[in-house]
Amino acid sequence: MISRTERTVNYVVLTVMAVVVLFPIVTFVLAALSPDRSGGPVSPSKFEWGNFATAWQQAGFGRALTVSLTIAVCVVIGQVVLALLGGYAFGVLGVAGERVLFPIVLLGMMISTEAIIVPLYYQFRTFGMTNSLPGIILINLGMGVPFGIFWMRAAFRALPRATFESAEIDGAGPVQMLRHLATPMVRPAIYTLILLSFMWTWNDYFLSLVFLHGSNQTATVALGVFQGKYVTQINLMAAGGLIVAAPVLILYVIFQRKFISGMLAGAIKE
Amino acid sequence: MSAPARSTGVWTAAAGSAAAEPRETASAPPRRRSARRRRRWTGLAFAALPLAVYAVVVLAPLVQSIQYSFFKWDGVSAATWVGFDNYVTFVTDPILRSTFGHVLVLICFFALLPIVLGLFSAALLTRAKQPGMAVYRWIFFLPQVMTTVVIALVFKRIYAPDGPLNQALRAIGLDSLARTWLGDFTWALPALGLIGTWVTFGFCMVLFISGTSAIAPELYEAARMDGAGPFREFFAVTLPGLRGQLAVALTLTMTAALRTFDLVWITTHGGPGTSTLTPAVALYKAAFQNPQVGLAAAIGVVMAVLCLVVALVITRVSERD
Amino acid sequence: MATTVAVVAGLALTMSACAPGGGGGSESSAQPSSISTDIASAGTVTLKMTDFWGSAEGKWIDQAIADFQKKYPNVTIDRTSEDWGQLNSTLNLQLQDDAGPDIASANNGWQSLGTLAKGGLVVNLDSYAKAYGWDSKVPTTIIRQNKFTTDLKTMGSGSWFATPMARTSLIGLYYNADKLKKLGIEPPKTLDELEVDAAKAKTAGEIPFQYGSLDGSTSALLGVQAVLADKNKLNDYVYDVPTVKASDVGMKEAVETVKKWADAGYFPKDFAGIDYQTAVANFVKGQGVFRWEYTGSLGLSTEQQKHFGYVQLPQSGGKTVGVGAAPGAMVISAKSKHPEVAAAFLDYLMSPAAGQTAVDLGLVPALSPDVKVPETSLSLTGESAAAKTLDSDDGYVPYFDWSSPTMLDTLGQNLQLVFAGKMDSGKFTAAVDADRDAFLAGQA
Repeated sequence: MISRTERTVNYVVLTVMAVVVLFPIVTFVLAALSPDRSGGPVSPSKFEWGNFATAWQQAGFGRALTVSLTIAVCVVIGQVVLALLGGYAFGVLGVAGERVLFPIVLLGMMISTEAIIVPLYYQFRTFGMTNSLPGIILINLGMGVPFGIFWMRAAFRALPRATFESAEIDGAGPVQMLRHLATPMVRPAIYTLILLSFMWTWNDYFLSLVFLHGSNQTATVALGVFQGKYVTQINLMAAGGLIVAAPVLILYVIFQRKFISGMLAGAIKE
Repeated sequence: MSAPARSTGVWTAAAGSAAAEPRETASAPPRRRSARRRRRWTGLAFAALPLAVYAVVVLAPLVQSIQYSFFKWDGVSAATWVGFDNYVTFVTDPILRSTFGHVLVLICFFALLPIVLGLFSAALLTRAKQPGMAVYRWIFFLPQVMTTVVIALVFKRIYAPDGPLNQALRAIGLDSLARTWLGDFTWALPALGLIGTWVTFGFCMVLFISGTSAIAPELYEAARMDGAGPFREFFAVTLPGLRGQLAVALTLTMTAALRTFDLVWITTHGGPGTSTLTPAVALYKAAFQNPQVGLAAAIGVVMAVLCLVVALVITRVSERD
Repeated sequence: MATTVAVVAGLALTMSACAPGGGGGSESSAQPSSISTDIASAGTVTLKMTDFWGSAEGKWIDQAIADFQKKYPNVTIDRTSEDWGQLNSTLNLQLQDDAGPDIASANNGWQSLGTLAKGGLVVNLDSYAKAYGWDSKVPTTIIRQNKFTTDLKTMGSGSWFATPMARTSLIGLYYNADKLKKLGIEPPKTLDELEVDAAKAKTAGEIPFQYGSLDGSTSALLGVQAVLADKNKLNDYVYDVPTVKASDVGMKEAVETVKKWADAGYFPKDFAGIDYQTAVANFVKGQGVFRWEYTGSLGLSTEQQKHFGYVQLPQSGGKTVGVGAAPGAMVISAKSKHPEVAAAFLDYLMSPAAGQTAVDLGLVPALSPDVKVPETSLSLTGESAAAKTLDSDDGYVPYFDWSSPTMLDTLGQNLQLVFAGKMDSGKFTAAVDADRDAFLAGQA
C-alpha cells in the first residue's frame, strides 16, 4: 500500500520523536536509582535499588496507595455512569433548556480548581465532608461532569441517527436504548473516558492537598513527605514518583489493548 | 423497569430517573413537535443527576466565588465590601496584568504546537499499518500518565545549568546556546511552554487517532484510488474528519494553558522576577499565601469568563454546518 | 451566553445579602477564669496535633510527645505530620473544622499566625504565660515574635498567641572546614574578613559562596542584612512601625553587598538557574566555601557535621544580631476542649529537657543554656554557641518576610531583577516599602 521509502521515513521520524519524549523520563529513572540525594546519574553498578524501599517506607505508600486506589475506582465508576447519562441526554435526546445548560456545563471545564476551592471547602465543611473519602469522591465526580458530558455527547452524536430511529420504531424506550444500543456502540469512547478519569483522579494533587489530611493522604501528596520544609531528596522523590506512577502505567499497558480493539470495533458502518 | 409497549414515535421515560416525566395518554397521539419536547424533558431527567452533582461541587462555589470577588477578605475574619476594586486591581496592577501576555505565549506551546505535532504523529501512526506503531503510540502518550508534580521535577533537572540539555548543547559545540533556562528572564517562559508541549501532544495524538479510526475506510480507499499521496490524503480526508476532535483538543489545551499552575509553581514560582507568573499562580498566591481571597476570586472569575468565551467560539465554529 | 450571564448574575445577587467570613468565632478574646496547671488530674485526654516536621525534627517532636505522655499517662497526643506548604495553605481551614487539631505548628508573621489570630481561630495564651512564667523564660526579642495586640492590628506587642520552643532556626554563615584549611584561612570573625576570605577563595579557583537564585532564595540577603542593620529599627520595621523605612534597616546596603558578590563572580556560574535544593546539595557535596543558610537546612549527617562549621558574624559594634525564630509557632485551636492540657505541652516544648532532646538529634537548641553539645559536631557547636549568644544578647531579629504576607515574594522576585541588572538597590528598597506600606494601609 505504501512505499518502502515512506515506511522507512515514518520509522525514522517516529523514532526521533520517541527519543525526545523518552529522554526526560530516562533521566528521571536514573535519578530514582541514584545514591546521590540530588539525583545525579551514576553507572549501573552503583544503582541504589534500595531507594524504592526507602521511599515506600518514608512516604507510607502502602496506605496512601490504598486511599488513592479507593478514590480513583469509585470516581471512575461514578464518572462513567454520570457521563453516559449526561452525554446521552445532551447528545441524543436533547435537553430542555439546553441552550442555557450546555454552556454552563462547558463552563465547568474552564474553571480552575483554585478559583472555587475556598468556597468549596466551606461548603463541604457544612456537609461534614472534609477529610473524608466520600467527600473527595463527590468533588472529583462533580469536577469531572463537564468533561464527561462533553466527551460522551460527542461520541453519541457521532453515531448514525438511523440506528436510533429504527430502534424507536421497534418500541425501545430511552433507557433500553441507552443500555442496550447506544452504550455498546460508544464503548471505545468509554474506555478512553475510564483511562482519563482514572488518570486525572489518581494524579490529582491540589484537591487532595486541601481536603485530605493525616491517614487520608493520597499517594501524590505522600510524595510531598520528601519535600519537607528544608530538605528535598530528589533520588527518593524520583523513586516515589515512579511508585506513584506505576498503577497508572500498568493500567495503561492493559488498557492499551482494549483501547485499540475498542477503537477498531467502534468504526461502525452504516 | 417495566416499560409497556408504547405507540411508535414516542420516547418514553422509564426507571426512576424519569419519575418526573408526565405520562402520555394513549387517546391523544402526539405530534412530532410535542414528541420532541417530551424527549427533551426525558433528556433533562437523564441529565439531572450529573447536573446536580456538578451544581453542588462547581456551580455553587463558583457563584460564591463571584460573591467573594466583591469583598476584601482574608478568608477568616469578617469581610469588607469593596465593589469592583479587586477587578480593577487585577487589570491595572502591572504585574497581574502581565500574566495575560504570559498566557498567550503558553497557548502557543500548550495548544497550537501539541495539536500540530499530534496531528502529524496521528497521521503517521494511522496511515501506515506498520508493525511497532502501538509502541510509538504508547510512548507518545506516556507523559500524560505522569503526575505534574513529577514532570516538573523531571524538567527542573533537564533545564538545570549543568543539566542534560546544556550538556547536550555543549557536546555538539553550541556552547553559546547553553543558558540558565528557568532562571533566564527571556527563556524561562518558552522553556516552561515546551514542558507543556511535551505533556500535551500525546493526548492530542490519542484524540486524533480515535477520531481517525471513526472515519470510514472507504474515504481513504477512494482517495488512494484517486492517487492521493499522504499529504493530500491527510488534508482531504483526515483533517475534515477530525473536526470534532480538533475542537475538543483546542478547547482543552487552550484552557489548560490559561489554567497552568502546578508546572510553574513547582519549577519557577512565577520567577525570575515575575516573568513566568500565570493568572492561576497569582490566584493561588492570593488565595493561600497572602490572605486576599477576594482578589483571588476576582482572578478566578475573569479566568472563567475568558475560558468560556474561548470554548463558545470554538464550539460555534466547529459545529457550524 | 447572555442568558448564562444573567442566570449567574441573578444567583450572585441573591447571595450578596450575606457577607462571607467570621468562620471562627470570638472565643480567643475570652480569657479562661482560672488556669489549671495540674495536668495529672485532668482525666483522660486525647489531643490532636498537626505539624510540618519531618526527619530529625519529626523525631524530636515524637520524642517530646513520648516524654510528655510518660510524665502524664492520662494524656495521649495524636500527631499528624504534613508537608510545610500544605499545612501553611490549609491550617486556617483545618482550625475551623470541629474535628480539626487541638495543637498545630504555624508560621509566624501576618501570612499565617496573624491571620489565625485575627480570625479568632487560636487561643489567646496570656493567662497560660502568667501561670507558667513564660515572660521570664523567653528572651524579649523572641516573645515579640509571638505577640499581637488585641485589636490585631499590630504584631510584636500585646498578647501571646503562640509559643516558641526549645529549638531555634537562625540564618548564619556555614563554612566548609576542609576547604578553609586547604586555603589556609581561619573562619571569618567579621563581614570584612569574610569578604577578604571570599576573594582569596575566588583566586584559588573555588566558588566563594554556594548560592542559587532560581526560586528567589533570600537567605544570603537577610543574613547580610542582620549584620548591617540596627537591631531595634529592624524589629520595628517588621512589627509594623510605618515611620521606619527599608533604607533605615540596612536593606539597601545588603542588596548592594550581595549584588557586588554576584558581579565579582563569588556565586556559582549560572546561579540564576540553580534552585535552592540543588545549591544545598552542591554545598554539602563540597562545592563552595561558604553558604548563608537557615540552620538545620543542610541536612548534615553526623559525619558531615564534623566538616562544616557555623558562625554568627557580629555587627561592627561587636554585638551579635541574628535572624532567628523558633522553627514554628505553636498554637492552640480555639475549638480545643482541653486548652490547659495543650498549654502544658507547649510549656514542655520550651523546657531544657526538650532542648537536650534537640541537641541529641543534631538540632539547634534554644532556651536551654546548660545543654550538652557533643564536641565532635563542628556545625552544631557553632550553631549552639550562636543561639546562646543571641539568647543572652537578646539579639534576635525576626525574619524580614513577616512584615507583610507578600514580602517573601517581593524580596525574591526583586532580588532576581537586581541580579539580572534590571533593578538597582534604591528601587529595591522602594519596592519593599511599597509592599509593606500597602499592607499596613489595608490593616488600618
